[in-house]
Amino acid sequence: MSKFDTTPITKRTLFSWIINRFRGPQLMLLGVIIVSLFFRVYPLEMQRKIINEAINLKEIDLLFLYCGLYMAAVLVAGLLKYFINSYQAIIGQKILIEMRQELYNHILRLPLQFFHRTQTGTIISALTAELNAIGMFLGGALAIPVTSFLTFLAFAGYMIYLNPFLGLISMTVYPFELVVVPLLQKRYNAINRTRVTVTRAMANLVNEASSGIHEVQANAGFDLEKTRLDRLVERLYIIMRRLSILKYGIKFSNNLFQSLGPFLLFLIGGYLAINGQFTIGALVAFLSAYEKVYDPWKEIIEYYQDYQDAEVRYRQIMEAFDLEPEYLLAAPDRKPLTLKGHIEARNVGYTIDNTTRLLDEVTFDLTPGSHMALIGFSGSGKSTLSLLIGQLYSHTQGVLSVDNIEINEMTKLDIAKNISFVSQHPFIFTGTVRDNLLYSCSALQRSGVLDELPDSPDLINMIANVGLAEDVIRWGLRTVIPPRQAYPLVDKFLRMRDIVSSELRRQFSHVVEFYDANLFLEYSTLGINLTFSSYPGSPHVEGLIGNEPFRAFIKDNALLPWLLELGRSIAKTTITLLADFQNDEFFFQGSPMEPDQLDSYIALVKKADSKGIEQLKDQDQDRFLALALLFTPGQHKIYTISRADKDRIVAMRQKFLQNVLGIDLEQCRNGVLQRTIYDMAQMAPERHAIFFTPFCASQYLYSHSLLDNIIFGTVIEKDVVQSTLAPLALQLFKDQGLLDEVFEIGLDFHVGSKGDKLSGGQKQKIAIATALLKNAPILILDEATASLDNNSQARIQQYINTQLRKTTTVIAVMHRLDMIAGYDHILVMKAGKVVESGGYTELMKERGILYELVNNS
Amino acid sequence: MSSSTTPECNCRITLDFDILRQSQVFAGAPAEVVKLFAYLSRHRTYQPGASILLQGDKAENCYLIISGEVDIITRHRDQEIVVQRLRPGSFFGELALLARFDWFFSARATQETEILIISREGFEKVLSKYPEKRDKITEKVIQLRISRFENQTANLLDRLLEAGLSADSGPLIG
Ligand SMILES: Nc1ncnc2c1ncn2[C@@H]1O[C@H](COP(=O)(O)OP(=O)(O)O)[C@@H](O)[C@H]1O
Ligand SMILES: [Mg+2]
Repeated sequence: MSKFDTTPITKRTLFSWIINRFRGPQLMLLGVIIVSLFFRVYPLEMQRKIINEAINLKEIDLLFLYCGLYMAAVLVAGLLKYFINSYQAIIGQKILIEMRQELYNHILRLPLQFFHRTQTGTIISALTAELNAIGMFLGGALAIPVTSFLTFLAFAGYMIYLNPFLGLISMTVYPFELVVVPLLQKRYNAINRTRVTVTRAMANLVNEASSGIHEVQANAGFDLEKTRLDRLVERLYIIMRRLSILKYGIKFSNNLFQSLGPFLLFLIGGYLAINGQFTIGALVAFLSAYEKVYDPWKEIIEYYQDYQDAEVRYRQIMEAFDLEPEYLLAAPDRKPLTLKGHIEARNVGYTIDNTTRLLDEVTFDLTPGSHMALIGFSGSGKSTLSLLIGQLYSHTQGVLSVDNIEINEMTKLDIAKNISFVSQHPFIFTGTVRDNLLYSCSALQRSGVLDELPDSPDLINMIANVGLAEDVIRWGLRTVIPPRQAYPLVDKFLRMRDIVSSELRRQFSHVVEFYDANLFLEYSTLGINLTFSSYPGSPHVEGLIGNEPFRAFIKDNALLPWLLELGRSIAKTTITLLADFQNDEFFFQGSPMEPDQLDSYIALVKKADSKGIEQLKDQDQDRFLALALLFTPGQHKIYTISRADKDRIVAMRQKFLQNVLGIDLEQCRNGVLQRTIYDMAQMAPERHAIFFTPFCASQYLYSHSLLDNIIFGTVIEKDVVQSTLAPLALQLFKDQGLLDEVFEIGLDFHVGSKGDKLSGGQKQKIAIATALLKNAPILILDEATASLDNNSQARIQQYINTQLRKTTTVIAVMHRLDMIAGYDHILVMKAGKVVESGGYTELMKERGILYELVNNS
Repeated sequence: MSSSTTPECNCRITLDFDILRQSQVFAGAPAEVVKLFAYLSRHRTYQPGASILLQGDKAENCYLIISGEVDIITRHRDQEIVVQRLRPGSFFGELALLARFDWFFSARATQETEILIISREGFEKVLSKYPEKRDKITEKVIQLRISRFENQTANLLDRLLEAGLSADSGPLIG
């Protein structure tokens, strides 16, 4: 609940946000506005005085004085207006921040059922764009109408003070507008409401397509998705068109009435002036005042429109989330409970929508530390039951309690502290593995329930327990370790390189291409083949092409014309074979060209053919050079170079290493090369500018992954290497005393958006580890090991059977019946009911349903 | 590495083009289509005893043996049974081009074996450019499958008969 307002957020009015918040600043704003009013009316009075007194009486001194005062007032009024505008925007944004925070907080705590029926796009759209539009309105919600109204009164009053008759006449047009404008606005509001609905539908559609992008791309559902969007775009267009017509209709009627004013003024005021009943000065001031009166009026009308718009949006946002969270976050009068884990269900039932009964008459009694397996056919209500115990759903019949306290009466913190829940399809957050592992604990720590997060040894322990060790090593191997972190470990990594090279060289001969200064590298670019080095941006070649020593080298050794010709040939073959496949990246995997470069290369080849390649401008030549240097024979099937060419490249490479980089080839191969200078260049790049880091046996390649460094070559068949290397690496890291360091590196692996880079099994293992790290007295597992391989399943089951026995109450939905023998209690479910309940041996003896299930599986 | 890049050859696509052109599935397909398949296929060398595909894994690729020898193995009642031994020029896994399924057999290299691999993804993409060629190629794949089926059945029956006779357990076929 907010400190300002005890009504539920979705029931509040738009103005309650304004009236209850930032009152001080808003009052100050109002004060400034009233002061500024004076400075807005004052120049009018000066105008009158300048004409009537200074000019008429021919008083130069007075003219200067009045003009000076006029200017000063105008300036002050301008400055105040500037201040008012910005200050009001700031207040608006401040209110918006609170509105957004409180709404988000509210949404996160809504029951799961809400999220089942509300699409994500609606929530995103409401919290972002829709709220933004309201924010523009909020800041000025009080100040603008007050200012405009007062200004209006001030100018109108001034006119009446000048000439009551004329003043009243020029006011007669306004009542008409008061009738016409709201009529138009009402129509506008109705259409505006459909606009919000359509925009949300659009957000939902886009959100769904991007979440289901696998399906869209696998089924080439592009047109399907586009057609769906097109329909909405078309509707939105019609709505926007109508809205514009109405909006400018309101403007038009406003302007029309407005121009009636001067007409009346000139007619009547002119007549009075001619008859000498009115001074010229007064007429001028009157006209100015009339002009001025229009501004606040316009502001009032615009404010009215903005207000209507904001009100429509606000109501629609709040209606979307108009639901109460079922549970308090924390009890106001006590600390979160510390439970033992005695779970009891008596005739528990769960009915949704008042009619559909998903669970019925579920009864069981679990003493603290005992383990229960839930089994039954798919759809029998196992997940539903576990969600009830986790307070993610709320049971509607019977009694469900922990330590004799009704679950429905506990707070969210009570549950979070005492129950760990692993769902059937665990969700992984964008971030590192470590972030995910610590998610539950971090949440508890923030709420003050937990003092300290698990430390690294705890994490590493848990990784091993759930069988994630090899995965973490694999992630560590894939990481390009930041130089400062790698530097102290380099000696050990290099020793591992030696071991891998001596032990696996033969085994890996077909799946890895090892770096060797004497051999052509089929799976490296020609750029790397020539330089045998990593360089900034490698394997990309922009940096290389711009490097002076390298350019000079290929020029002096007559390599340039050959490379240009090669680039042109590659371009030509690519164009011939792939011109029809420009919109499909897939076909370009066998060429160094990117699909979007095709058109420009077609033009370039034409130019080269007509002019001659040597006549091309440098930057055009560079594009051919780039293709040649990116060319990787083993990967780019589009083209091949001859053995002789490869030999020539190797010879050139050796020359380059010796002459340009000044490296002794023997030392490079045998690993006795001084490497300090390259390390220094990584550690203090501002002092040691090194462009090329050679692939020498003694050299750690800081821009490569740990795997590349240990393998010291290019991996051709990733699957083989990963599966063979990870277990071996685990052993080697252990031997070298590097295990903890590599675990740490692996834990910082970034799992990609929503864990995209993880397999289903890895996600489950992470989810289980996350839950176990919380160390709660109750653990609920909903088919938590379903996507794991047999070994991992058995390992985790073993851990549960031994380590959690007697200490943790476990309720596990089991899909593998061969693993339930270790449970104290078995609950067999069918169609929302418990059909058998008892110990494993006891039930098997009875030869009932469990017996049937076990023997038929 | 990939030994298909024979030293003096300047023509990696051409080489695979010739291999595919003479193969059962692609013989008769227009040159431009075969050329694309040649471009999208890749070589891989397996060491003796290396597993090429595993029963139960997702079927994604079709394989053509260039050199060496491959055993096709089925697991049955926890026993591995070699149902066929394939030599250069033979396809296996060709059904993966047409449908998604899990491998119902395993394949293993018995000696150093070089294989040309075509992925279903590539196959799909090429045929979506040449939809009118799809029927013909599909038919070839199915014919290949049928002859493979005949072959394997004959092979098994042969062995069954031999085993049955040697064990003297009476007539197998009534
Ligand atoms: N939110 C829901 N709304 C309507 N029906 C639901 C909902 N959640 C589950 N069900 C239905 O309840 C039944 C039990 O589902 P569930 O507990 O997931 O089964 P199990 O985990 O045993 O496979 C199923 O028939 C399912 O369709
Ligand atoms: Mg379930």
